[in-house]
Amino acid sequence: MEQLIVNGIITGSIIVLGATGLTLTYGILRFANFAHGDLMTLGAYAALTLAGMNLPFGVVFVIAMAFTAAAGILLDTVLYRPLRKRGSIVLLISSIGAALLLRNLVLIIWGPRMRYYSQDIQIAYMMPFGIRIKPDELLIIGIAAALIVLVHIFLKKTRMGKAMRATADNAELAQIAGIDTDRVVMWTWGIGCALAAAAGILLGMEVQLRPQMGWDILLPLFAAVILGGIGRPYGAMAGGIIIGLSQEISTAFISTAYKPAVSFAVLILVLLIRPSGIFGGEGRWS
Amino acid sequence: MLHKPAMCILEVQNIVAGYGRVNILHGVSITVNDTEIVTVIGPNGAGKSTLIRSVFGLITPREGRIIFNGEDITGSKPSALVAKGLAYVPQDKNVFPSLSIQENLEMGAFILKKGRRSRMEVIYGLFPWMRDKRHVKAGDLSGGQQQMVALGRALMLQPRLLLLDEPSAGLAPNMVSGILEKVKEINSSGVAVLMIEQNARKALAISGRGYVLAMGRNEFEGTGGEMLNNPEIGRLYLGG
Repeated sequence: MEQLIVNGIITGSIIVLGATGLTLTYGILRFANFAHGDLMTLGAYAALTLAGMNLPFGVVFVIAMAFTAAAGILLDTVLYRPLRKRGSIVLLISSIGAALLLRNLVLIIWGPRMRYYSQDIQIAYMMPFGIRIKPDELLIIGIAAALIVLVHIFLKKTRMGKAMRATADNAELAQIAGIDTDRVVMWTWGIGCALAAAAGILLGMEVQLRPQMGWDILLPLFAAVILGGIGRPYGAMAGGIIIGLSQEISTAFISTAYKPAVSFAVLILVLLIRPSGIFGGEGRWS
Repeated sequence: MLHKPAMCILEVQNIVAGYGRVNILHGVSITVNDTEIVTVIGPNGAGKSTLIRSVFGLITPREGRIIFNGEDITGSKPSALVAKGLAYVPQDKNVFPSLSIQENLEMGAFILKKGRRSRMEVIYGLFPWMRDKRHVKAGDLSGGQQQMVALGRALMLQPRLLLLDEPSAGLAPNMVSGILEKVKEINSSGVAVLMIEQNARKALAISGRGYVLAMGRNEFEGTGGEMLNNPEIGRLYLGG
């Protein structure tokens, strides 16, 4: 059981990063971006190519995040911005198109077979309570925690972070106050997609790289986002850990093949009992 | 003290504006001098909010011109107008509920690179109660307090002209006078005010001039005193 909790925290860390990015874009742009999972995939594969150039891990990580942020901003400029006035359903459907496009791009460039960042076999550390944890897994938890702290500082302390929260509260009032909302939107895509890339890389480290990897994890991401109250970054962080834990702990009772079904079940339960998320209220960034 | 001659800060010339294909304003003209409070009254649906939203660039007029501080601003975006010295407080949803009072004020000066701190001190001078509550979320404040935070936010950039859409809407009667008192204070600090008000008597009492708008047209115009003493306006628009 202790081992499953640790596994849950590892999975949860990855979901937290993905879900926080997804909920940020929702909070500002008011639409569910179905391409978010495939942006994760793109970031993970970008890191694979960079790792092939023998760059140090930290550099690979940061460049892959910046690359995916740029890809997200580009996607917004050419696809979403012209459609913004058409409403959130049009945006949602176009994001499914973008998801397909990105996934097939990954297939064309990197091919369909499974890939690994490293073929080395990692020796797990033996921890108290018989818990076994690999060095990579400690790194995953550490990176996720550090990035979440950075997002928190950004949202609470910087001028642009506060402007993002203001725009999420009331976009028209933000404009009235003189906030450059176009720049806020750009920053939101940048940060959301950089987090997606980080989540994708960590997922690639924990499992392996597949062109489907981002799309397959989209359901747990949405479950975490909705669990925490859609559009609320702090809710998504809590939701991500809860989804990660419930997926892993469920394996003690049912087949591991049902992991995605567990997040689906949690999602449906939340929608039935507390549709505004476990923390209640509207999409407020508090 | 020498009085310099009043200068026209805002001139709305015959604007036609509305939403979708429906026109709400059918040629409205008003002027505001740089030292005065001007109140626009009129029945619901007269186009008062549409007028203010047109001035602030949230609606682009189909015809007519809007001159601010000698410059044609017809069709300019709100973000550009804020930089030119216009500020607007909408009727409701006029604070960022999940942001603290201090963060709300900061957002009012988003375009300012520096000097935000000293502007904030000016606002705390005008509303001393805010200083102790500066870390309280605006969404947790009373309606009257929120209205004052909204005013504070709009004043952060030292505007030349403040546009107010029903600053006392939904407030308790004693708060209504309190808010209008503050509007007067703001005006005497050198900010021209154009406001819409339901509490027409109280608003006209502090206004230099007023306009009556009806069916999207100018109906009457006069000094605050003239309007308060006009029996017909009293009967039709001031509730007897």
